[in-house]
Amino acid sequence: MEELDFNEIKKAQKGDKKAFDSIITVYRQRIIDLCSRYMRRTDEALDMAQEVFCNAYGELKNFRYKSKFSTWLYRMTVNMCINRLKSLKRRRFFETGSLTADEENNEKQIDVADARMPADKEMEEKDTRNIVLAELESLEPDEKSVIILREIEQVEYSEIAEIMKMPLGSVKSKLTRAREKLKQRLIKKIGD
Amino acid sequence: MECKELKKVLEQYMESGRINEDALKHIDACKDCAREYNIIKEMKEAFAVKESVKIPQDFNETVWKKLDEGQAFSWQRAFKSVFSGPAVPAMATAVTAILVIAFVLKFSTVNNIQKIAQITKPVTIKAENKTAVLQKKVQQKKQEIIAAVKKAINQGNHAQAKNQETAQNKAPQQNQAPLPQDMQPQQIAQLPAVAQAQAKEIGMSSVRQTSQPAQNTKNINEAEAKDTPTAETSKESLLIKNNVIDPVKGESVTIQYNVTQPANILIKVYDRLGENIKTIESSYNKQPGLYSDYWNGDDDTGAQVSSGIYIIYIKTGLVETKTKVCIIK
Repeated sequence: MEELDFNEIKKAQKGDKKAFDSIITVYRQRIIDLCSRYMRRTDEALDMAQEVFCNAYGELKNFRYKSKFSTWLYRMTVNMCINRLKSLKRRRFFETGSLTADEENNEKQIDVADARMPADKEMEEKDTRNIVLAELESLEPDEKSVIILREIEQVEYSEIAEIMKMPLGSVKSKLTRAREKLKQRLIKKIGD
Repeated sequence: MECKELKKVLEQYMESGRINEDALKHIDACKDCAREYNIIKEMKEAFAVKESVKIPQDFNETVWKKLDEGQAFSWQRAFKSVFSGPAVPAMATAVTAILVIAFVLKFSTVNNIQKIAQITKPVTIKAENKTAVLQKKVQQKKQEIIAAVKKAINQGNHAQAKNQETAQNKAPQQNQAPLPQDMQPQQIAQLPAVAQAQAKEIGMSSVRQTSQPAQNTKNINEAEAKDTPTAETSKESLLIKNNVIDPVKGESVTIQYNVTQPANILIKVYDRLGENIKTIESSYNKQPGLYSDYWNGDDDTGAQVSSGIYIIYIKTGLVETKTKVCIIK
């Protein structure tokens, strides 16, 4: 995994816009991909990645060089994605009553923020990969994060521990539990 | 290999993607383990697919544009960030609820205190205009009678003083006094009774019981001493006690009224809908006197009425009024 030179980051910290632009260029693919694992929609993933870089620009002065810059950026991405998903869930809850258009009362159908394809529709497609990803989405945020980081992004355990700010052993046990949970759910769905 | 052992192998397979031949043989033989293995395999295959999102050319520019927008403070954005969040409906509901509760508590407390004060205050109903006119007449007549009585007594005293030298024992003034020039002894003797009768006829407030005989001047003196004002007279016309009652405890409303001349009496109880639920008194040509009626919270059928506010309508010769009564169980 390509890492940017710390000098470039120091320059960016001092307000060098060119240096920060190079940071964006180096890390954007990884951050967008990671966002797409959480958001599962390209436009939302891109939007989220842009927000991550905007936030990173403001928080850059807080980077202490104790970890890799990518780890620091990943941690920010994971936290922001989890928060975004939580807020989308809440919004979906509050807007449940106005999901459909009411012609009698002249109410138009609102544009629901979380317009991802529902899990049940994906089931109809009988695509195993989609089923696995749909089930992955139903896991707890922490469990989902360890699976994404370890299984999909192939991040080292120690780095996951840093990203998620938890001990290494906790990461391993959480990953084992998450795999087991996912496996059991998949057995129920596609086991027969 | 047993199924238990295979579970550990499958965990390793999940981690490393490698599986030994013994395990594969067991998987071929065991249906449950085969199903588990296939699921893990599917999972690994699903995760192995590396889907990369195509980065738009203007990605960096968009980030910078957003950063520029973010650096300029905007009241509109600040307002949006505060009032467009998902928690806004809950916050708005909470604030509205607090305001409504505060409003209701404030005004209901004031109203309740006023209502309770009105209900619990002893009800004294003043006589109406008609009664006031009658009372004035009573006052005038009373003063005329008192003046006549005083005159008669004074004349009697004067005659007694003249005869004091010859008289041995002191007899009552009225019996021994010589007759005044313009009055016969019988007339003097009869004066207090007449005054009493007249007073009764015009409804003097001090004369409470018509059955009580009024034979001497003492009653008239009492009447003079108690020369009651109009308000007191009206008080005595009607008095309602205990207008907040609990019938379960045996409490009852007392309606005390004065009848000065034969009159029709009507006392009825109405509920808040205006329905007559009880007729307490309905008398034709009731004789003068002081009467008391009681209502213990029952209706015409004898059943107890429910808790609430009721209105008692009272019509006597002197008073016609309505008053509220509260039943609390």
